[in-house]
Formats: sequence, structure tokens, C-alpha cells
Amino acid sequence: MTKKNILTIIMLLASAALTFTGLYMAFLWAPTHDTMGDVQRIFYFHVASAWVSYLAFGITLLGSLLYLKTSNMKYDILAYSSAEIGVVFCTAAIITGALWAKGVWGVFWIWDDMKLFMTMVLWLVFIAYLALRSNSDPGKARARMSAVFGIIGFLCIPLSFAANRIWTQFHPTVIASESGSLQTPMVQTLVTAVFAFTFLYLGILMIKTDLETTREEIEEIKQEIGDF
Amino acid sequence: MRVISATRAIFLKELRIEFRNKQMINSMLILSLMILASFRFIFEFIDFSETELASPILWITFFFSGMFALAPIYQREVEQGTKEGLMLAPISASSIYFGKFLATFIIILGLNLFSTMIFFAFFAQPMPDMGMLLGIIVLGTIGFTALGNLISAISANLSQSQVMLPVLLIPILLFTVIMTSVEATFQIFDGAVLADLSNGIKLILAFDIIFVASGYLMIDYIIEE
Amino acid sequence: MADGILKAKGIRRSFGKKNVLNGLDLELHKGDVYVLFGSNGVGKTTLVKILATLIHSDKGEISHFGMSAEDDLKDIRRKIGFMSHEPYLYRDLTAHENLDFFADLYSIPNKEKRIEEMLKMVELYHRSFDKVGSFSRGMKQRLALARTLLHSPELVFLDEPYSGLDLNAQAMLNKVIEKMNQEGVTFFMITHDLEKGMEIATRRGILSKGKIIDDDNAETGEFLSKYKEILGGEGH
Repeated sequence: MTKKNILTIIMLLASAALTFTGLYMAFLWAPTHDTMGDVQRIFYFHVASAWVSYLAFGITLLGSLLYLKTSNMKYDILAYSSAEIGVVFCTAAIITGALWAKGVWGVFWIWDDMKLFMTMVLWLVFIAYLALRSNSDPGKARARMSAVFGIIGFLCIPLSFAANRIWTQFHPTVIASESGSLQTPMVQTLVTAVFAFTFLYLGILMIKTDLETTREEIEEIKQEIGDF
Repeated sequence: MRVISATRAIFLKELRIEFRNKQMINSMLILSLMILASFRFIFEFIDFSETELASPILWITFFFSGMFALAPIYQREVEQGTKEGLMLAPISASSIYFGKFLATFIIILGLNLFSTMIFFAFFAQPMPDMGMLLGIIVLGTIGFTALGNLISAISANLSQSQVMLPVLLIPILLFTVIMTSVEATFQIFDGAVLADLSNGIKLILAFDIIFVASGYLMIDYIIEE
Repeated sequence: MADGILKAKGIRRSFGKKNVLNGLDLELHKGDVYVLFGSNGVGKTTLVKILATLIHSDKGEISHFGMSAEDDLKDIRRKIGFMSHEPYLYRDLTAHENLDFFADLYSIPNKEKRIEEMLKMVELYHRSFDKVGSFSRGMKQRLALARTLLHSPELVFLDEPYSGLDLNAQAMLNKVIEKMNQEGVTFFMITHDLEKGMEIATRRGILSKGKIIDDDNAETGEFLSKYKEILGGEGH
């Protein structure tokens, strides 16, 4: 227990340190982008948020699969906690992305863009996942239902990717890759930001799973005490 | 062949109940009519190309009327207290799934064909290739019903199940089967030949197979108590 | 083990905060008519659903006919019948269609003859082709009995079978139980109807505080006073 606490603290400290370094690098150290200008600086944290949300949803898939295989509530808690954090980061990625797009493309959202589209699909699927959780009673039935939905939801990602690829042939992407080639300091800043957010994710995930586990334990203790 | 006879029994029971309750089928037909009428009158006031909007109009109608057909399939068993009776029987959950899937497929397909007829009555269209159009409708309906049955089994156990069915169904269905079917139907109205559609058809077929397979594999986890 | 129709050991189950069953043990032998009494809300229905393989226990082991529900669930289910509060009947289908449906699920051979036989037994043959939705509560209960016994189960669970039945039907139910019991069918019934339950029981128990207080050997008078004592103690 304490070992885990120490690990959590290390994660959060590492994340804090890297975040501050990242902020410094992004706003002061990295050179201004040739074509996009200062607004491009949002890109570092945008990419980091997007990466964490993909990672988080991936962990949800893993937790769901393991739950169905083992029926161990631990994995249900993992899947749920990760999905909740994933939705937060995904929202952040969408908002920062929209701000960036407004600066560069002049609009908040490009509906034809594949990356934007996929992020939107993920966001909607996992919001539905959270809605499922909040509309059912805690227990094994909920764990099974959400695991099934989590797996199908994740399955939907490659499927909609395939669907959209055919689709976009008829509505060709308007915006070609504009980010151009990144200079080395930019790449370094990006890597820092990605690590910062990954540690942040891991730290929050540990706290969140602990919290949910404690909640379960309290329920069990309540049951043992019986009616009172 | 116990699996097949159980599937058949459930299939027949579902159809019997649906058609015994004529108000249910009737209200679904009326709903399709109402949705298409709304589109008709809304587009009275807006300048638009009927050929371009034909496909989304059709699929939005299919989607929403189909949703109401899907909602009661498992809900009914829970509400009338018959779910436990089914669970007690020495049959596998996949028999329940396939029986219900086939029954709803027939009902929703019928509903969609009715909507298509109304559509052509309301919107004066140069007739597209009807064989191809019907083919896409059949393929799209398979995927819709296959996934819809599984999600309907989930939502029947939730509070506010009526709202939760579309909430869970839309993000998965919209970006896969519906999107591809809308695109293919659009091309058909645009005068495409079969060769143009081969990619779309393959994709919808792949979705159908994946959704039927996931229903078959996952239903055990949902129905078990 | 030879006549071990059902063996349950250390069954626990809780719902939310409430611990309903608390390490309960039970053994049924072939030919038993075991009647379990208990006041409302002590977990009788939960127990019977667990024994009938409908819900899982949190802890404990159960074997039916020497098989475990993990491995041979379908084989077990083919041999058990369960009549609950809910009749498990489709109100939009006729009495005959309902039985026909369940006959298919249980793959009953010669089903037409069997359905006719069952409908006659519960005195509903004249209503075979009426929708169950138009039946009274008592008629639904009788049809539910026909549904429960349709596949000739070897072990039958009955959950408050007398409720909703008039006196005639209650007597009919006891007659059916007696007749089938002579043919070797085992019954497990939960009820709070002392009079009817005692009339039919070959073994009896009381469910209290999540466990069975088994009083097989006590005399009827002694058993009744003990039951009253427990009821009083629970404040009902």
C-alpha cells in the first residue's frame, strides 16, 4: 500500500516537473513555427492530451478484456477509471485542437479531417460508456455490460477508420498536412510534454483506482455489518 | 439440433408477439410516415437537391424507426418478468440472440421497405437502380439489427433504458454501418453502377459479419445474471 | 451421494448492504418434499433462485444430481422446474402457445400430447386458445404450474405457490405434488402458509438470519411453537 503511494507521488512529481519544463520549452524555448506562428505552441499539449486519451482508452480495452476473462473486479475498476480520465484528456485534446485550428485554418473544426474525426468518434463512444456506468447499479452485471460495451466501442475505432477512408475518397481532404517539418527543439518539447502528461495520467489512474477500490471495500464492510 | 430448434422457437415466438400486438407494428409504420412527412414539408421551404439528400433522408428514417423496433425486444422480457423463464431453459444465450436477431431483422426490413415506398411517393425521384438500392438496404439492416440486438440487451438492464438505447447505439452504429450505407445509397441515387459500389458493399458486409460475431460472442455476458 | 439430489454448502449472498444468506447448508434427498418457512424479506426467494441456478451465490458450493452448475448447466436445467411469483408466461400468447414455446425450448418429444395432458391437469384445457393476458391471477398460477412440470423435471422448486390460488386450486396443487412425489419427484417449497405447507411436507425447516434451522425430528406442535418464537423474535 505504502509502496504504491510512494510510486503515485513519484509519478505526480515527475509529471509536475516535466509539465513546468514543458511549459517553459513550449512558450519560451522552442522557436516560433514558420508558417503557423505562435499559435502552433498549443500543439505540444494538444498532442500530449490526445496521446494520453488514446493510451487511456487502450487501457480500458485491456481492463475490459481481462475482466471478461477473469471476473476480477480489479480490472473493472481499472477499465472504468481509465475511461473517465481518457474522456477528460480527450475533451482537452478536442478543445486545444479547436483553438489551434481556429488560429491556423480559421475554423474551429474540420469535419473531413481523419484525425479529428477519429478523436470525435472515440470521445462519443466513451461518453456513452460513462453514461452506461452511471445508469446501472454497481456489481457484476454492470462490470460485464460495460466490459462488453468497452470492447465493442474500441472495436468501432478501426471500423470507422476503414469506413471513413472510403468516404473521404468522395470528399477529398481539403487541408493537406500543414504542420510541415518540425525542427529538433520542437520535437524535444513535444517529447517532454508527452512524458509529462503520461506521468500525470499514470498518477491520476493510481489515485482513481485506489479510490474506487476503497469504495468497493466500504461496500463490503457495510455488507458484513449487515442492516443497521 | 437443439440449438437450431431453440433459435427457431424464439424466432417464432418473437414474431408471434409482434404481430399479435398490431398497435405496435402500426405505430412504427406511422412513425416512419411522420418522419418522412416532416422531411417533405421542411424541404418545401428550402432549396435543395432531392437526389443529394435522398440517401440521408432515407437512412435517418430507417435509423429512428428501427430504434423503436429494437427497444422492446429485451425490455419486454424484463418488464413482463419472462426473462428468468428464458434463462431457466436449457438453451444457450446465443440461441436467444439469434432468434431475436432474425425476428427483428424481418420486422425492421419490412419497416424500411415501407419507408422506401413512402419516400418515393413523397419525393418525385428519377428511379435509381432498385435492385442495388434494395441490396444496400438489406445489408445495412443486417448490421443495424445485429448490433442493435446486443445493445438492446444491454440497455434493457439500465435505468432510463429508452434513452440509453440510442445513446449507446449511435456512436458505434453511425460511424460504421450507417455512414457506409448512406454513402453507398448516395452513389446509387447518383447513378453509380455495381462496380463503383464494390468497396462500400464489401465494407458493409464486413461490418455485418463483425457485429453478428460480436453479438454471438458477447451475449452470454449480458444475459447471465 | 447416491440419492444426493441437491447439496448446498456455505451459501452466502448479499444485496447491497444487506447480508441475505449467511453460510447456509442444505441437502435434499430423492423423494423429499422439503418445505421451508420464513417471514417476508428473510431471503427465501433469493435462496430458491440460487438453488434453481437463476442467480449466483457470492460464496459456497452447490451440486445438483452430483453435477456442478459450472460445467453442466444445461443438463441441470433440463432436470429442474421452477415456479416463482412471476408466472414466466407471455401475456400476448395463448395458453397453448406458451406451453408450446417452452416445450420447444426443452425439446420435449411428442409435445402436443404432453401439452394437452398438462392443460387438463391444471383444468385450463377449455381455455387453451385464449390469451394469457385475459387470465386471472389464479389461472396464470395454474398455467405456470403446467409450465413448470411440462418437461417432467426431477427436482421442482416452488416459491410461494399458494398465493393467488383459491381453495380448490390449492387443494389441486397439493394433490399434484403428492402424485408426482409418489413417482419420485423431489420438491423444495418456500411458503409462509403454515397450514398448507405442513400438510404436504415430509421435511421442513425455518429460514432465519440467513441460515436454515432444520427441525426434522421435532413434533409438529413443537415445530410450530418454535416457528412462532422466531417470528416474534424478528419483530414481525
